[in-house]
Amino acid sequence: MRHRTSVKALVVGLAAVTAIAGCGREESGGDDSSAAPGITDTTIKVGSSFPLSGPLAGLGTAARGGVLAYLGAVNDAGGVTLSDGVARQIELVDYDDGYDPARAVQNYQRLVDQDEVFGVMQTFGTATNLAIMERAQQLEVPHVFTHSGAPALSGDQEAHPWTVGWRPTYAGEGAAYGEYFAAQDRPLRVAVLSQNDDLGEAYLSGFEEAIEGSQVEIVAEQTYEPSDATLDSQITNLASSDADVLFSAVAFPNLQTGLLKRAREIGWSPTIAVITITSSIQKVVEPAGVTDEDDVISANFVKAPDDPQWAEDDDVAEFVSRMEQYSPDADPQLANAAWGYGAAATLVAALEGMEDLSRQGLMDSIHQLEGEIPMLLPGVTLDGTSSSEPPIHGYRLQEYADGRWNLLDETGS
Amino acid sequence: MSSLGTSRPMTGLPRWARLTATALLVVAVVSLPLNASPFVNLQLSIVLATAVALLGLDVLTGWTGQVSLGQSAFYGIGAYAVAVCTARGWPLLVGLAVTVLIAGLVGAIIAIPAVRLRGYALSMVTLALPVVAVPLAKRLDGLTGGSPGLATRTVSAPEWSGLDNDQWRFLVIALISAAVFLLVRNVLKGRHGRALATIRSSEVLATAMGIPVQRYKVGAFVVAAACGGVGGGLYVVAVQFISPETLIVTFSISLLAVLVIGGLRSTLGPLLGAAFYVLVPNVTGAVDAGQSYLLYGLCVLLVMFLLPGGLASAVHRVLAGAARVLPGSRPAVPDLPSQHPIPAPPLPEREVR
Repeated sequence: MRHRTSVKALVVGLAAVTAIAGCGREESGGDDSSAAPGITDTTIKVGSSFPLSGPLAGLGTAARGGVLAYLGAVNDAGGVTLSDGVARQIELVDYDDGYDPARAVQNYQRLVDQDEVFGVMQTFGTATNLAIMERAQQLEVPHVFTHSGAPALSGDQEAHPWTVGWRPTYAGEGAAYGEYFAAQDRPLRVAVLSQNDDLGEAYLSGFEEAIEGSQVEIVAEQTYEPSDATLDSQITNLASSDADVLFSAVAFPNLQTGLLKRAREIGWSPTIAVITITSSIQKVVEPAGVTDEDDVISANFVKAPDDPQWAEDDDVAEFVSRMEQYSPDADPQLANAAWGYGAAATLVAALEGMEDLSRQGLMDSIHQLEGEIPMLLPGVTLDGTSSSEPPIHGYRLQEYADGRWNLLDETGS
Repeated sequence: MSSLGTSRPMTGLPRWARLTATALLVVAVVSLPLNASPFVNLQLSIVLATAVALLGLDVLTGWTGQVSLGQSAFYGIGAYAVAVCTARGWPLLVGLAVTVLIAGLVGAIIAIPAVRLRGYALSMVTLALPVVAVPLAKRLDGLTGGSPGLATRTVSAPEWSGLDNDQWRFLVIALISAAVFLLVRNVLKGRHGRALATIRSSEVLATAMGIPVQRYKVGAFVVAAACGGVGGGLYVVAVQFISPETLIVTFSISLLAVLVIGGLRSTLGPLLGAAFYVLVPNVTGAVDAGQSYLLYGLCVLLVMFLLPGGLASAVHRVLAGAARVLPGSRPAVPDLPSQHPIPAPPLPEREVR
């Protein structure tokens, strides 16, 4: 009978609500004899959150792929041996956030409550990580090696002891170009193009700080919006300044490609500094038709897998084969994959260095990290001792010639 | 009995059943956070925040028939107002009062000229709101934290309560949401609701009946804006973070879509729509993260094909069935939501017997 069914449905529904309400709250992070939450005798569970859907899905999948590739190789080699002498497998639990801060926060909370992870690493993006940061301090669950170069994530680790970035900051990259030009010790007129937000500001502020008191001078500034379809008008305006240098802090590969082409079309050939996010040979430099006559430089901190100069490199060969084996769906040519891979390597080093198998122990270990991890450019170092900088330090400047990025030596000649 | 019974899911149920159900609901809402995990409390808090914003949109779109694409902007105003106020250590209620004031004022400023426009023109005007709001939130970085966003510790559980922060936040959000729902429901219950319904069916008819059409449309717009603001404010209480990305126009479109999925002109509609918006992506993401948008889209289509009146219509049907058999029920056949997303309203003064 339909009516009876309806009544039953109503009763069952209300009963279900009360039943849910009656479920006991399980105490998580139990203080029983075993080790910290997320660590058993055989496994360590770590969590993450990436945009695996939406416009940034490709980048998020690459970052996740990099993490899985490194952890997969470590696990197959027996796992990570902690200070108690027991080798454990590292298990990654991750969720999609679609680059929505609210979902990233939910994922973080879910990883802590439901999955009871030991810590969270490589969460992707600036807004998403800033959203998680406050909660991480309240829950006291490690939120480490973020997939973002925003200075705020590592800038004040005393106020935010549970959060730390990984890659060197955007401001640091801006400073690297500034120092390079300042070190040339001759009058240089610079035109700057940057994104009209905190990302662009970080690049610009780093650059300005580095050229202070030198003969380098900014003579023209333009900004763009991420929604801009082309940068033609900006480049025309900048070209009219006839500057010697164009600092192109453009964060979108297609815009950077268009800009490099356009500059050539209008016959403007300054020294162009392109930022690391848009320095891919396959995706930007080659499509833009950059030749050896052009004077193009870029800074980086990891070896780009699509750069022929690293084709024979052991790190890169291992990275590429592990990506194929463990993360066939991710694009290893995207820099995000190399960052995820390096961050996972850093995590493993930090886990190995833990004296005390606790969440605090992990944070302490991070602040003692020193040494080498795969995929970093020569001269770029791992050093977790600073409380105002992320653990990866330094950029190397490179000049484009012969189809590859050639490392410039430290003095920049 | 009102002919607009669709706004009250339990109309038609006998009094004892209504009271029992309400009592059970209150007990459930109060005891739920005490037992659920912080993750569940966070999810439910976001559901309630979204539901309040949807409720406002329902007044404008469901009741008055005006499609707005600007709700995310009001959501943003509320979110930033509460974030900025609580970051300065002001009490939440002050933040919410500021929210209602600013969102309502902006709503009125937009509405007064906009409601004179006909048809799609209002939607086009409201479309401009998020388009302006996002860069504005980025530019006013001294106040809003610029494009990275603003993180803030909103409300914490007071010592005497003995509760955890997530439990306290949920209860605060539930209390404020309940107050807003009751307020809006009571306003719509009487002649105001009938007036809006008449305007929706025919502005000419409404004018002929002496209903001040423009004033009602402005009123509906202001209520929608204020509710959108309060919803955004509650979102910040739960998430403790707001960035300009949350204000984008696609969020407005999503709100409109999930309102239809939840069901128009129903108290339950905004709640179910909000639950759909927040919970379904978490489920589809667990099934296959790479295809989560596709699966979400499939869920949207399924609901619209199987339940064109929205999720609420299914609940209404169950309740209507219950009303027929429970002892003490009135013999009347209660209104069911129409099968159309924006159905023609019943004639305003007709009594259903």
